[in-house]
Amino acid sequence: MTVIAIVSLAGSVPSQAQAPAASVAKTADTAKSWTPPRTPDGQPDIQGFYARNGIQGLEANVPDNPIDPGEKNPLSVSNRPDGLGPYPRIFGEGTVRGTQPAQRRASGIVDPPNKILPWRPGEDEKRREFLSKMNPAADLGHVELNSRCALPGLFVSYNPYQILQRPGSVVILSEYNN
Amino acid sequence: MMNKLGGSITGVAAVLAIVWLTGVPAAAQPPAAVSTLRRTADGKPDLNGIWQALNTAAWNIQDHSGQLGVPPGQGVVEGNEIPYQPWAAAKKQQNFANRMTADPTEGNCYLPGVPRATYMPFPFEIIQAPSYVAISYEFAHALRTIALDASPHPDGLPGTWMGDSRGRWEGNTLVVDVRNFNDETWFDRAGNFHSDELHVVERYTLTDSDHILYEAAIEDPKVFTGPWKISMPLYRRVEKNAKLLEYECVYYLQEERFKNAPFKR
Repeated sequence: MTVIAIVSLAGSVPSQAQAPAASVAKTADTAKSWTPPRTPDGQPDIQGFYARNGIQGLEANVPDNPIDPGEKNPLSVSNRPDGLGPYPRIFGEGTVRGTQPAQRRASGIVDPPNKILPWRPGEDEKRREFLSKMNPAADLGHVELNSRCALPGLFVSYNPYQILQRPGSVVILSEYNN
Repeated sequence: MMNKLGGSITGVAAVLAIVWLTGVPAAAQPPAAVSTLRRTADGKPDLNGIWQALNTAAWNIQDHSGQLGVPPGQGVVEGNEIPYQPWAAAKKQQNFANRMTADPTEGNCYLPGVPRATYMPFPFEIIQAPSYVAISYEFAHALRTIALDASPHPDGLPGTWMGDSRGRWEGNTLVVDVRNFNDETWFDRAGNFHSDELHVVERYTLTDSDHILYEAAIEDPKVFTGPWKISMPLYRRVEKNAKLLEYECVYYLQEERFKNAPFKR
């Protein structure tokens, strides 16, 4: 599976106009010593392969969660012989969770500073209820979407991305699930 | 026309029918004058857009009669015959008998491989940049990135479903050399197959603004006694809102296979 995102450039707001002040200052410093390459139509050339190495998950320092099936029950990341775990055995080998402490601490959240998702109470309750029913899965609806090879959302997977540019659009190709 | 397309894209069948009825098959058309072809900024024929084959090759790349759920069709193999080695001809027949469950692509949601991805009854998008061409297929989000930098195929890597594609321009034709396949895809629903020594050379020739002549030369010394070739027109999806949608094959397959599974609490 491949996620392909085509971002239309028509009518878009220049990204610099939306950047936080701190980012703008840092960008300005960097720009003094580096001139980005340009595409033939004058846009910054960001084509190439990218990866978000080192970011294990969204939240940092997530406390051990007694209902976190990934940490407490290895069945959730392996193929149960009856095929009813979150990773049905016919659909793959499961995944390898980050087991090194440093890997688990890395976070992709930059705001809020504590890097903890600001769950609404009701939504957090739904999440926990889901987790409580996913190992073994109560039904197909409680099998992780990731385990079902559903699209992961933008920039969620650990696989690399390739960015291509053509006049009028930027194309982001994701290796994950292709 | 509805039968040609199959149920999976029934929602757009009516629109596609209009295209089919009003257009002259591209293969019958002489290539457009060079000066009239739409071109990219670097002067290459502009293949950007969403395309789709309108034939029955996904069911069977050879001439075939209709069956329940299978529209009859004229083959896309030049001369109609595929030069199988004797053992391979027997295996093809076995594949055909078991096709409903054994087909890696429609039966099990594996990537369709090349050239099958081109004539699945799903659209695909060509994204053309000066140094790369990418082809994104609606079916299972299959993807190919085709380097145009004259780099060679990699050595020593395991085979893949979609192979490794390296492209070059020969005049107004994009030529794509594809190797490094595994042996886990078929050419169609009828069990035509290959080994990991499959070698495909595709040719994409823009014949006018809305048609591509697609040709694929195929060789596989493990399976065939000689090379063979397929060809077909590809049609631009010209709807104003044309876009690739999501066909989550594995997800749907799980719904089917696990719908009565004894899940536990």
